[in-house]
Amino acid sequence: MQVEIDPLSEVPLYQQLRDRVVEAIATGELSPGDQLASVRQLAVAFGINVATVSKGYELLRREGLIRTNQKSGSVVARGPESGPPVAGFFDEWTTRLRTLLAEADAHGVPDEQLVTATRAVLDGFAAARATTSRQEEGGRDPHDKGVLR
Amino acid sequence: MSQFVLWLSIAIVTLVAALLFVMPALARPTLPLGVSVPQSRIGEPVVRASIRRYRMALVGAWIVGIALAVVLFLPLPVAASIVPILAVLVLGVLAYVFSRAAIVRAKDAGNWYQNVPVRLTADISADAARAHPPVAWIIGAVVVLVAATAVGIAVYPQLPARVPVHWNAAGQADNYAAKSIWSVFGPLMAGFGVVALLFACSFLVRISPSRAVVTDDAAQRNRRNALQRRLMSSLLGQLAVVIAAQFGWLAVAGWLNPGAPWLMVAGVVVFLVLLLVVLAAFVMRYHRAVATWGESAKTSRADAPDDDRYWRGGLIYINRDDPAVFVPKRFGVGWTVNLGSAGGIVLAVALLVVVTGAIILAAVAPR
Repeated sequence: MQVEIDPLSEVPLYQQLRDRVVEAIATGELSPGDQLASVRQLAVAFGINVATVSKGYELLRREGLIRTNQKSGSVVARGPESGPPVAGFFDEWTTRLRTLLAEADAHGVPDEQLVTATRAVLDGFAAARATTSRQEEGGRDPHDKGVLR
Repeated sequence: MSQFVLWLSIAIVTLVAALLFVMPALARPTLPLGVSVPQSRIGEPVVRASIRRYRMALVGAWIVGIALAVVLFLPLPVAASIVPILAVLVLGVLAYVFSRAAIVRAKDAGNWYQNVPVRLTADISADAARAHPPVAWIIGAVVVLVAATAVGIAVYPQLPARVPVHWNAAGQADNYAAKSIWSVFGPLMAGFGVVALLFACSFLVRISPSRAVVTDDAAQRNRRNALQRRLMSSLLGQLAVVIAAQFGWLAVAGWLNPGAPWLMVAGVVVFLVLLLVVLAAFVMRYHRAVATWGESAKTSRADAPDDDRYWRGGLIYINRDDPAVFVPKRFGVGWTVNLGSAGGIVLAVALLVVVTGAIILAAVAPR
């Protein structure tokens, strides 16, 4: 799966990398069990510092979205259909959502528009998941599917 | 002395000049003469003018090379075989450096990258498209060398006590050594070594990083990377066969018919022609593989970042943040080393030592 990052952005590269992986899991482009390139491979492919990629992977690991072991490298650990989130996730996420909504409010975005926009994003993820799972039926390596499914 | 040196020198000068001449056609449109430019600027007049100037300079370099070969050939036959080729290479590099400077100046003066969104891109999935090593070609090369060795073993008892080990440019033996495994089979062993080296290089091609560029779409990019690797890999295999055939032919001709210089000369001529065919076929297929560059250029939202600052003179790559030891060349085909990485520095020093060592050895070697 192709990932794009902006080297001139104020958002650090490791954060962008982490965000793109999270989005790919939500859209089904990455599903549980999918292998990721090693830290070094990805740093070489981008032409960026190994520490940057390592930091991005570390974030994902701490969030439980990927896991790394000696044998199989880094794999996607969970997805939308892997059951409820771990304890404490939702509270932590709500804090960040609060800030995000506050930004919109402060800039005068009407509440209805916020709700519609949220719905549209979620529908977009669901639609993307439906397409990717249709495309993948049949053509996929059986061991590619995660044990968490 | 034979005119062969002259023709050989002219042929190599022409080949080198022709390869340098077609290089701009093999580059991405957003890297004219190795200068990073945004998609919106690839049609700038200065870009076209610079490429035209580079090509005109190369025609000049080619003429200088041929003139040097003709002038040096009678008084200094040895220099005539090396100086013209070096001259074309040096003039080619100068043409590149000076032509591209105009694009760099226009880019800096016009702030071409101002307000242009840029992205780095890479494939995060673990599976990378890997080319197969050119096993069939390598087997072919080994078969040729084994066949030549078999001929050598068969004729070994009949060979004279002193066998020729060196031939001059006219194909006449000018140095002899006592018959031994080394003096008889040495060239073939060197042939096996070269084939092994090319085989090893094909593994490097296999694991070499491919840099994705945001202006290509993902499917195109993967197809093109795979195709480029496959072409590089089969080029190495074909070179192995051509070189094995050359070593085998010269060895067998030397054993069976040492009194026929034209056999040697014919071997070298056929070798050069085959080399030319292999290289020309590679350039054409490579050009077709990269010809789709720019097809998707109109649809891409973002550009590749301006990375000119990592390329000294558009030739030498130094990027301490980049962990890659090998990176795709800025201009031309293949890979170069990153002098910002420890591995790249070690490789460059090793190469420098080998080349200087070879030159010194050649200079002090007894005639």
